[in-house]
Amino acid sequence: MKLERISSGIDGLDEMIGGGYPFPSVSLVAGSAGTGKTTFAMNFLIEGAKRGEQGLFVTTLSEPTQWMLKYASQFNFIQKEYFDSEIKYADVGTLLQKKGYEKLLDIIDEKIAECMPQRIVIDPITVVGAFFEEDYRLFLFELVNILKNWQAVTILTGEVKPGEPYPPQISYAVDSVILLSMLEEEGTRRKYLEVLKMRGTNHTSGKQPMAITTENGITVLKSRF
Amino acid sequence: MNRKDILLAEKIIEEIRGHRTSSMLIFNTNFTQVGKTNLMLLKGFLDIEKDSGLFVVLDRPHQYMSYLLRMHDVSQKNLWFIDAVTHTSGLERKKSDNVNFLEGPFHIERLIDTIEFHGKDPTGGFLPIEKVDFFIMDNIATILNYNNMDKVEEFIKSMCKFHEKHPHILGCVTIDKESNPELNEVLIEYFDYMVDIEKIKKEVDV
Repeated sequence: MKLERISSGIDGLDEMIGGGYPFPSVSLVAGSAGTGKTTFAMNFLIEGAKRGEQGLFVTTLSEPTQWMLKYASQFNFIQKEYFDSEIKYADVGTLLQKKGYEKLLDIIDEKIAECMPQRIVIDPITVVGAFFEEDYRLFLFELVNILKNWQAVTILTGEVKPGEPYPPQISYAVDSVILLSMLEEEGTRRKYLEVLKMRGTNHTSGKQPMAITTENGITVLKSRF
Repeated sequence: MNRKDILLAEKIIEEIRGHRTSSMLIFNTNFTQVGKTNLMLLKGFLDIEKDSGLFVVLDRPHQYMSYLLRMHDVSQKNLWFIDAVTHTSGLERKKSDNVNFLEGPFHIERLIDTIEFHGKDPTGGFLPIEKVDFFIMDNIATILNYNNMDKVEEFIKSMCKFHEKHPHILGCVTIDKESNPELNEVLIEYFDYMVDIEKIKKEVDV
């Protein structure tokens, strides 16, 4: 049986990954600050909304909706009318500070069951590690297991620590890992996207140049090499 | 479940009512909507029609649908699960009165027997076959992950025989015909009618 796939919503990425993300699956998008992880996630959710798919954006940052929208609205590709209808927003940041990881899993499960999304984003997942240090591995294992059984494609965004190519604790559990990076070349910082792993997919390997624009969000550019 | 979802469930049931004399129905839906379509079907059968039935899970453990039904206030009083996937999912198999577990989706030939004889389960608690109004298979294309097409066709034929024996039971399978054209061809050959969920959804959206 051929894997069913959904479009990533990123110009140029679907061609690199056999037509889109396998459905259902759990994916990690990792990178250091400013590489475009949240923009990537927004591209993904907006694409789904355009296709009539339900999206769920779970933030672990305790960020109020209007604060997130304030920045998101700077992008022309983000249609605000999708928020609170095709794209639901859930803040679990407060829970992280007050409750254990099991409660957090319950709440995520509940939010998914409520709106039955086909696309889920948890942004950023690495924050959870700071709160549940001892239970982080167990939490990730259980979270990924739960997410794989819901019929959705989930993107977990992850902050990369200096000297680390990607958050190792998460990458072993997920179906795919996409790395966003910035390299200093000829006095400017250039952005790159690299598909490190995607199960069931003959994907393009190596760093591909990318751009972030207010018009389209992330676009993978044709390689210069 | 919002107003649109409830309207969708009602519309699906309206469509089915005209085909209750048929024994086997195919529900065509986009692959991203299979879970939601099954929820709408169960809402329609259990809450609107007050039917009793079986939900056969091949795609994901029954706990997920059970949880969804609970979250959306759909009564499970008259619903029984046959779970062919928990065994391979890494989840714990918790014994419950309304669940019968299969060892895995690799031996689909045993599935019909499980449906046929589950009423004779010595532990009791299961619905006798004469009281089953419907059964739904959550995502029939999934069995192609575990069985070849010949075996799947044999299985579909055995479903037909089952329905000849129990014509009061409405058999329902969900599939995305675009993603699974070969399987869809086989289903069309043996099944009575196809309900196009995507078309009904468009009517509800208007």
